[in-house]
Amino acid sequence: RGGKRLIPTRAALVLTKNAVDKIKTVLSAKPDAIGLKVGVRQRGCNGLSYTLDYAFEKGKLDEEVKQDGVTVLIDRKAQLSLLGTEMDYSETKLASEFVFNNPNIKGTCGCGESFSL
Amino acid sequence: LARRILSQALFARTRLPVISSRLSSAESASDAPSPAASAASVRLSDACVQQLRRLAADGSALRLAVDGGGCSGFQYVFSLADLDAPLGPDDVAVERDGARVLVDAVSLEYIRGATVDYHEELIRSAFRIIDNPQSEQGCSCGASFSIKIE
Repeated sequence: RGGKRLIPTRAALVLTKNAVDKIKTVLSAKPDAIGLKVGVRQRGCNGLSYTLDYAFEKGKLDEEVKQDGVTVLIDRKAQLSLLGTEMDYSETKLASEFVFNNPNIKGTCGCGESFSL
Repeated sequence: LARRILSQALFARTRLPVISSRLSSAESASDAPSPAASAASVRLSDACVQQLRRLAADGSALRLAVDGGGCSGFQYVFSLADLDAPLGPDDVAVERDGARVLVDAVSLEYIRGATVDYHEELIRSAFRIIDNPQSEQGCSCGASFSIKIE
């Protein structure tokens, strides 16, 4: 039919199953939050680092990612730097943390917490 | 002239022992830290003790080391150790309320007086070293630090 071609649009942020499960756990303890909000801020030896907070309302310019029943908002300032990132959650006995596998980054700090684009 | 040389020699002699005794005391501290002194040398925060108890339930203890690396020269390395394993010859165990942290004697010198904490945040929960009197400045994430040179 027609000349229409469908191009799949990708979500700005993809969550792994571990991340979805953890976000569900985190949010069940905070019923008035609508989701989590990911942002970046100037910090660390490589320029930027991720922030994660509870989201209680969706800002006008926030990008909303819904996946498997959880909502993650991306702060306006973080949308460009996070595009195409996979958000994972890893838990070991020593540390448990959300990990962002960001294809845009050029360098990270030794601890992996700060990065540059 | 002879008297002058003699007084200088005496002066040098009186000064030297001060330095050498300081060196030897530093050496002996790193060679054989007494258990009582080491227990006071690294503090464990309440959150740290709680998490260590969780580790202990699985038969693990925390091993703490200082290594070269990171963006500030030195970095803290956290790893797991067997809770029931016998203490190595260089190891010092810091214990509080049933929680146990193992540190080797060399690393201990770099973190003497610091506090081991378990910091819980939404984005990450992990062990960390805070208030290290030996560190000058650190990486913002706290994993790396540089040594204060007096």
